[in-house]
Order: sequence, then structure tokens, then C-alpha cells
Amino acid sequence: MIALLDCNNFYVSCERVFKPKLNDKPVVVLSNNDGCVIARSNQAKALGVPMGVPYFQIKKFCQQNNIAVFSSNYTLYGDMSHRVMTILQSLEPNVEIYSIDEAFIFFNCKENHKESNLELIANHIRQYLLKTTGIPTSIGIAPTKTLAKVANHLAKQNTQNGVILLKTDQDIKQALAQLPLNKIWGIGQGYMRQLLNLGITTPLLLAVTPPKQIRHQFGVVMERIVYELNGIACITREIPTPRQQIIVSRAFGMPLVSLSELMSATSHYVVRAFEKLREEDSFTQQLQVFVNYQSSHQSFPLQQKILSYVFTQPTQDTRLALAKVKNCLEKLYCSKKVYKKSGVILSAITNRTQQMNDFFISPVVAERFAAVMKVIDQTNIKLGKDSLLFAAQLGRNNWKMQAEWRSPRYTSQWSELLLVE
Amino acid sequence: MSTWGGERYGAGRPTGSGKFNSPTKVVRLPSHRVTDVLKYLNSPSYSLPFYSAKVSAGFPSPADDYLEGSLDLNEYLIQHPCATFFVRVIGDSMIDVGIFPNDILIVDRSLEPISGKVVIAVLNGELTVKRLIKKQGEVWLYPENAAYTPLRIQSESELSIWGVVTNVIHAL
Repeated sequence: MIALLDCNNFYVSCERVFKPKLNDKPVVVLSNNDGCVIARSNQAKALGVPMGVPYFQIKKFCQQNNIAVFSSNYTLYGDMSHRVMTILQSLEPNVEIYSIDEAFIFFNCKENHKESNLELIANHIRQYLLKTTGIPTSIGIAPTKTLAKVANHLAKQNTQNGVILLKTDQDIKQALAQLPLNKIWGIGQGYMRQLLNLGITTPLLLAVTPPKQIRHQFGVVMERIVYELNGIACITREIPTPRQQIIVSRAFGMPLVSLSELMSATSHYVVRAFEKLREEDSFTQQLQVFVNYQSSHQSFPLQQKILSYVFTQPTQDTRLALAKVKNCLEKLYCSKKVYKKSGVILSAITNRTQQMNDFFISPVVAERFAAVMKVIDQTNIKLGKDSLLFAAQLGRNNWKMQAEWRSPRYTSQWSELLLVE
Repeated sequence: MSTWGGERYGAGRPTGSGKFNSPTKVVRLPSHRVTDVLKYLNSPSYSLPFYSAKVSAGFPSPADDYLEGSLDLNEYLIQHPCATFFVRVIGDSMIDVGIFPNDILIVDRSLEPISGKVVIAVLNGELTVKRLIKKQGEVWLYPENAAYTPLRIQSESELSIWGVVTNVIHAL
């Protein structure tokens, strides 16, 4: 049996751990740059706040209804997620972390777990997680991942229980009858429309459609969904593959017009991208720099310009990349434009075992470059992000993200600890 | 017998000639720990033995046989890292037990809040540090300062325990 554990309204729950006053109140969390709503408490949902709505549209509504507003505090959410997942893994041997707030648990009913105990085990897991981290969770248990997601969805709606177990065909049929098609894992608006055109209007109808017909019409991915809905597990454990691309980009906190500001911001993204690259001990051979800008008319969508640079040898060296990005930006920059966003894309990624020596750089020099990068990485890890900066990263910080209502970083900054009386 | 194909003597990268100068082993790690482990492997920083001796001119130190692990505060103070949080104290309601304003408390949420323990409690939504006392079927929050009065909890709904305080860090 497979279970899906997911944290209820995760970002909101994180904020509530450190501000218990908000436990029954309407709360929303905003995306980067305080743009859109990315998390709502049940009370905020009940007030009618839609997911993804731009904040400026509901600002007054929030004030009128005393809805607490937070800027996203990813440092905190990442740490809380790590705690939840680590504790979960200490309780159960076979856990597959799926996202920041979801994990699949594989119960081996032949060896470790008795099927009759699964609900008890699940409830124990929920209680223990709530006690140790303060995060409430819901668990759905079923024979397949897709059905576990269905069960989890129902567990969330059923505030009494928090655990739903789908054991028999009857259980599964009843569960599928309670959800619309587009709540099934893997079926979005597009597929739903196509299915509706064929007269398949509910998950139950989809489950009884012959899989081969579905495969013919929609492909193997949809066929797998049909099998999974019928209790036949097809979606196996994920085996992580090395990244094909590393992208780092952010919208600016305010529009930029000068080349130096644009360079400063983009340099930060380059540094971060190469940190990620070195974390995996990978090398890149192609770097693309892009900038998004406002064209002359405010009403037009943002335009984008992009330039590629191909390195002669795969590299992990930030300094080399910064120099090339500088050249690219000089070519992309136009003083008449207003820049809203920039980013870098690293591709043609290979790992260390695939490297050959550079014909033009002696191994001694190459090793020295690598040693410098190593010192920089280790210092930044030990003393905090951006302790050692490249000169290119300096400059005014007005491009940094808005986060007007970010809560303190309770678990990572001594100066921002929770205060108790 | 064909001499074509088969193993070529001396072929392949010799074991131990790679990055780590030793034979390697493939290990499965939980995805979220991969970066931690890579950092550990690549960083030369690790706790140093309390006594260490430079080996010079071939004379070993008599202490070499007695080297133990190092003293690590994290290990000493924190039993359940994932359930442990740090909070800072404001106010003087607990000074008689050595908890002063601005001190940092180490709070373990996995411990049982039994009577007599100093806990972080949530009282009507507010966080407070007090000693939890359960006596004669009643629940009380006791301060450790004569200037404050103990509080009896009227109903279960107004109180919940956030965590148990295990240590206080006080700068002199």
C-alpha cells in the first residue's frame, strides 16, 4: 500500500507555529515580490480568497476582513520541511519526498506492516509530526500513487479524521465518485476538456474505459492513470536524474534602467547558478543570459532578449562566467528600455567523470581555479550566504525582491528568534 | 580458442586512483541529505581532537593512544535536532530559576510536558515560559519570580504546550 502524506496549507502552517494567535484566523502568504497569493488558511478560503489572485486586487478585502498577510519566507519553509521529512524518515523506512510538503510512504504489507494497522500507524505519524514540528498533515492510503493522492484529497476535506484508507474496490469507487476529473493527479484542464468531449465526465467513467483505447487517444501517460485508478500500480519510485539545465532568475523588486544595476543583479544569479552547479559537481558548457524589459507601450507584454555563450571547455568557474555574462549584458543592454527581470540558463551539463583536460589551460592552473571556488563556497556555507562576494555583485540593492511582510527567520538567524515572555 | 575479445590485462582506471585516492563504494542517500553529505566530503573542516600532536622526527606522542572525540555543544545540548528550536526570553518572570531577559532557551518539542518541567506554553494565543505544575487534577503555570502570581488554567482550550525547555544559554 502507498500513502501520500501532505502538510495542510504548508506555508500558512509554518507561520502559525511561530504565531499561534493565527491558528483559527484567515491567513494568506504571497509569492515572490509580494505578487500573488500562494497559500491560504481554511478560514481565508472560506472568505472566498482565490488561489493565485494578485495581492493588489484583494488588498482592501484583506484589510476589511482582518486577513493576516505574509510575504513568503522560504528560508523558514525550507527548514520546517526538512524537519518534517527527516522525522517522517525516522518513523518509516521507505519514504519518497515528492515536494516541499508532500511525501509518499511505501508500506510493505508482507514484511513490516499489517494492513489492518495502517490507519493506526498513519494517525500516529500525524500526531507525532504535529507534536514535534507543529505542522498538521493529512494522509491518504491506497494501492497506487494516483489513488493515494485521491485519498489524501478526501482526507483534507474531512477535517475530523485526517486519514483516509482505500482498501476495497468499493472504497475506491466511493472515493472516485467524490472528486471531479481535474482533481486526479496528471489530469489538468487540457486533458479534462478532451475527456469531456469523449463523454468521459467523471473519474469513475475514466476508470472503466479500456486502457488501450485511452492509450490510442492520449498516450501512455494517461493509460497509466487509468491502470492506477483501477488499483494497478504503474508509477514507480522516482530515480533522480542529474539536471539537464540550471536556471536562476528573479523579477526585480523595482524596474532597473542602468547597466550597472542590471549587471549587479544578474551577477548574483550567475553566482547562485554556479553554486548549484558545483554542489552537484557538474560542469556546464553553454550559458544563456536573458533580460525581460518593458517595451515603449505599457500595455504590451514584456519583451525578452537572450544571448548564448558557449565555453571552449565545460566549466564550473564562476569568475569565467561572470566575465562572459558581463559581455553578453553589454550587448543586450539598451539605455531606452526598462528592465523587469533577468536570468541565466546553464545547459550542456556534464559531470566530473565526463571531463577531459583543457588543452589550453595547464592542470595546475585549473586546479588552482577550482581551489579558489572551493574556498569561496565553503566560506559562504560556514559564514552565511554572500559572505564572500564577487565584485560584480556589488551595487545598490534596489533590484532585490520586495518582501514587505516577511516573518522572521526563526530557525536560521540568531537575531530573529521567536520571543517568549 | 579464440584470442579475440575478453578481458585485457591492465585495462581500466586503477582502483583508488580517483578523486578520493581510495576505492569507492556506491551509496544510496535520501535526496534531501545529498548536499549535506557532499559538503561534508568536500570540506576539510571537521572537529579536531582535543589533543593533537605533530609527528616530527618520528617521535609519536604518548597521548596518541588516548585521543577521544571532540567536545561538540550540539551533541551535548540537543537530543532531537528536528524537534528542537531556539527562543529568546523577554521579561523577568523566571529569574529565580536562572532564566533572564535576553537569554536563549533550547526547546525540545518531542519531550513529554510533565509536571515540574519548564515549558513554553501557548496561553490564549500568546507564548510564555513558565513551570508547568499539575496537582490535584488542576493545571497551573508557575512563574519563578515573587513579583508574579501563579496562574490556574480554567479550561483545557486556553492552554497548549509548545515545547519543553531543556537548557538556558545565559551570557554573563
